[in-house]
Amino acid sequence: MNGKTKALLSAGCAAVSGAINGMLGAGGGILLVVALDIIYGGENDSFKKAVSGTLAVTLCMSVAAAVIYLVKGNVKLSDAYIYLIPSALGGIAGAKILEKINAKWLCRIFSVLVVFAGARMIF
Amino acid sequence: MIVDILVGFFSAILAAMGVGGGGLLVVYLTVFKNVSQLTAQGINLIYFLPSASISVFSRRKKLFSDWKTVLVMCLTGTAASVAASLFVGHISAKILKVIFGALLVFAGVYQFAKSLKKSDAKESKEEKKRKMRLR
Repeated sequence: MNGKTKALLSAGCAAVSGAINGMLGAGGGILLVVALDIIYGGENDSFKKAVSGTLAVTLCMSVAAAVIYLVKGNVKLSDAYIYLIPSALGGIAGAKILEKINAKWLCRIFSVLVVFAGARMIF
Repeated sequence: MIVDILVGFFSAILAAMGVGGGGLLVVYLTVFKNVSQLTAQGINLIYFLPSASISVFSRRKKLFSDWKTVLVMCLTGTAASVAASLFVGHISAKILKVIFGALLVFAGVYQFAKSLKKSDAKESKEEKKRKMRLR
């Protein structure tokens, strides 16, 4: 797969992921990780690449969605205050783990949580 | 309050690792804190931002090497997300959720099976061959 094809496919998958996120509120990121892993070739480092790419996209989508939620009044910023510092600290720890962890184990943790998330959606 | 902080911390670790925690915070908020689903989703969105920003920032060099693709993905993803939420609305799509949930379960099992085949090597065999050829 050449670079242009990869870029186009990635953009398409991101759009689908975004649409799912917009409709259901969550879940698009999971399919995007799986799709990007396939596009990047399923190599040992491709899973981490897929995860990083998805995080970047999900971050952008979440900013947009958060703004919409705040403007619509579905949530107040003060509701989330208590979680902000733990989030930052967790982010630092998580980023370090992401760097060091074996891709195989990252994939397994991911898979288990995906099944859990899917089951929650069904029931 | 300590529990809030601990739950936030551990779900943020998972979020930064890209595994999302399966919406653990949303479950915690709706089940244990009696927060409404919509507000819980809103809190989840806001709390995700510091964790994800730090993770993306720490991976910036790897992402930057392919920045055009990442940028295009961010733009298409965000545009699709906003369009879907504005025009389609949050369809009380129980059926949509069930179908998507089933897809996720399938994706999770498939991904797990794939991971069983992955080797522990940092480089793939092809990478090693390529490096040998270049010597």
